[in-house]
Amino acid sequence: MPLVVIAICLALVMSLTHVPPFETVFGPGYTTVATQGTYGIIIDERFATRFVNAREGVSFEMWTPSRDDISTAEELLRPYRPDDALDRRTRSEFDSPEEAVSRTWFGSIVDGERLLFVNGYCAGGLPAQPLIPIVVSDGGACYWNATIDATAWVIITYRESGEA
Amino acid sequence: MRWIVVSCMLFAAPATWNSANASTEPCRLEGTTLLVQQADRLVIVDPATFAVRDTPLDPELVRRAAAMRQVLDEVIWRRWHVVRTADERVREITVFDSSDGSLVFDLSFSRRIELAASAVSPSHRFVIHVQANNVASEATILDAQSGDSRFATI
Repeated sequence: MPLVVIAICLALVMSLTHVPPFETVFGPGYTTVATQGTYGIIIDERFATRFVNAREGVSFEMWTPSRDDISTAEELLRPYRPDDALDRRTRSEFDSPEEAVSRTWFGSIVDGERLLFVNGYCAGGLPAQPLIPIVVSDGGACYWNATIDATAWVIITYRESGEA
Repeated sequence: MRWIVVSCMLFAAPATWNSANASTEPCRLEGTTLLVQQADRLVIVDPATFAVRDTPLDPELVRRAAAMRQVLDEVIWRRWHVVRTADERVREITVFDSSDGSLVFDLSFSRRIELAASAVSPSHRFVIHVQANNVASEATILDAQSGDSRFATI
């Protein structure tokens, strides 16, 4: 009997202090990833080509980044995006990981090198149609993108939306 | 107004300085950082506190990134083509849609607005001076330890 009471008490405490687990969620063609306090979606290589604007006559092989790839990339981006990681309290205000999403990740092989691309949006939230790229004209610093060499692990480009 | 915001040191990426918002918001926007990269160093400045962090970069990686940037410029199509012209009186920014060459917008700034700011890093090692106007922005970082100064036109 005491064990039952303890179990009930534990369950009660856990329910009161419950924080959404933010575990990996799979969608059709993308995966939600949480790492380094930020939340993003990884676009499956089957759909990633939509996100890379290749010049006419140019085509790229795509690849699907792993959770470890994103974790390493977030580490590199931290000096550029020092305030993006959500703390536990902020996280608990979201009902689901989709609400905390602020990055779209996809991979491409360019000139034989594995590149990791990220589109960032500080407004947060999973795009309504995650597999369809959205073009933002201006939008301010809330929209940014970066390209990372996923072999040497160095940031190649980092841009925030500005004049165009 | 864009260049007023720029003058407030919202953000600078290597070789670029992007205005963040065409509004009358305070200089400090959440999450913005001044980044100055030169050769083998990346200097990160928090515009709110002027706290400076100096990060050494691997010269080999810097070279690799520069080479890859060049490759990307050749193979990636960019939607907007931006033309910037400036002289001592006016700065113009014209944006074309690369798909059909149509004009997206054309802005010119005929009034010159000057802003300058200086600060010393918490360690007292670095002094940063930023001179900005709607034609050009410059940042100078003086390393008091080595006596070296680094200069970037943004």
